Amino acid sequence: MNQKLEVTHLTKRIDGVPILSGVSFAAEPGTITGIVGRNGTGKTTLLRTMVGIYTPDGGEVRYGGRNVHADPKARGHFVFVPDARELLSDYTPERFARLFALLYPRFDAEKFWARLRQFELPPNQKVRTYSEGMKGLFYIALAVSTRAEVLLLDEPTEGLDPIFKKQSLRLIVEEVAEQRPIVLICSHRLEELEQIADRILFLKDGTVDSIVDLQSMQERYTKWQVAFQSEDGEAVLAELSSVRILARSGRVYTLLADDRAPADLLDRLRKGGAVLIEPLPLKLEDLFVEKLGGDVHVF
Amino acid sequence: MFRLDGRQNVPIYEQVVRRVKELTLRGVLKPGDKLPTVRELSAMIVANPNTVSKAYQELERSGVIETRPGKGTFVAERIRVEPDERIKADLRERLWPVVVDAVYFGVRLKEFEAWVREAFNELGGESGEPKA
Repeated sequence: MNQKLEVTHLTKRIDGVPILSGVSFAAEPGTITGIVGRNGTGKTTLLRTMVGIYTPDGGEVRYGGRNVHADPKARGHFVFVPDARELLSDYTPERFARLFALLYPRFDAEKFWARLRQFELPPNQKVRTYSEGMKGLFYIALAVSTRAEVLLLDEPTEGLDPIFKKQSLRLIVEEVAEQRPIVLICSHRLEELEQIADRILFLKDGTVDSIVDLQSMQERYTKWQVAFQSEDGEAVLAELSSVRILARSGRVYTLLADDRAPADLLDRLRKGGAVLIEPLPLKLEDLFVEKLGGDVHVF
Repeated sequence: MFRLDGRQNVPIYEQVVRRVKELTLRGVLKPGDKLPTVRELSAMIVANPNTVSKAYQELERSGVIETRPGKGTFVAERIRVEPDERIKADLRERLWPVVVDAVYFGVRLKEFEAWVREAFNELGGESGEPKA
């Protein structure tokens, strides 16, 4: 049944431009991996290459040990939901159901129709006529109904209103709890990934910068707002290892400290003349800026 | 009932553990009550199922809930035991940073004690019975 997914040294050039330059990671069944990165770092290319829309220039994608580009049967376990919601949009759900039952032997027609009824998606209308939110929800309902073991979702909730968004995320979470597929989601919606993902893969310049387990994120990183009495806060902070200044406004700093920061960090800040030290809620966005922001001042 | 607060700086895992403990202490969940399955709860609150499952495991380890094979997960009968020294030491240690901040920001001991008393009363900490 469900098996391990392994991507090793995947490379891809498009029109001579290197987009993926050696992407490697693995994923276990029943996990949700959020893939994040700046625009143009190759998130979509990664999914498209994994699913075989593009042929990789180098490296491989293995599912259950079998190379999916050499073995169409292995690739049959994958389903891809592109960000543009126009795949066969001239089809009605009825025609989708017939086609997907052929493509995916485990297609669960009963569940598919139950979901359409639940979300009141008209079964006899072409999907093209649906609203953007209905389309978004429809393609996810279709994808999870295939019972594919690897779901690749590109910006699944982009442009969806809060209700469609919640319904879509709920479908994904339910499917993971029930059937334990591997789910990869490319998204800029960091707060959604924070809610539903097991871990986050940071993609930078066509390669994997790091993978952070969300359950340990709150233990590893802390965020603080610190105000100094005098102007020499900068010097105090420069002495502290593993403390990064996320933002500065006069004598008030926003800091991100990782688990290599000194244990007596707060004491040292106080001794250094900090008159206000407040913990701030750590968000995935902070790590995004820290890891992928480079030296660009974002605030 | 299981609504979580996304703005809180608390991991979802801990929010679930705390919320279930709190609901049982307040008597909203009573011994023998059936809890939602991992699938149901993760769908309800739209959270990662592995996170919810880990929270249930923690609750089971600490005796708050019990799994009856093939039947589901239930609120366990509450057995009152004297907390052992290790647990007490751990609680004291966890209290420490809060006290540090309280002292740092000049909170008076009387006021701090009143907060603790209030919370104990609300959760039926002294009498052992949740406030009706």
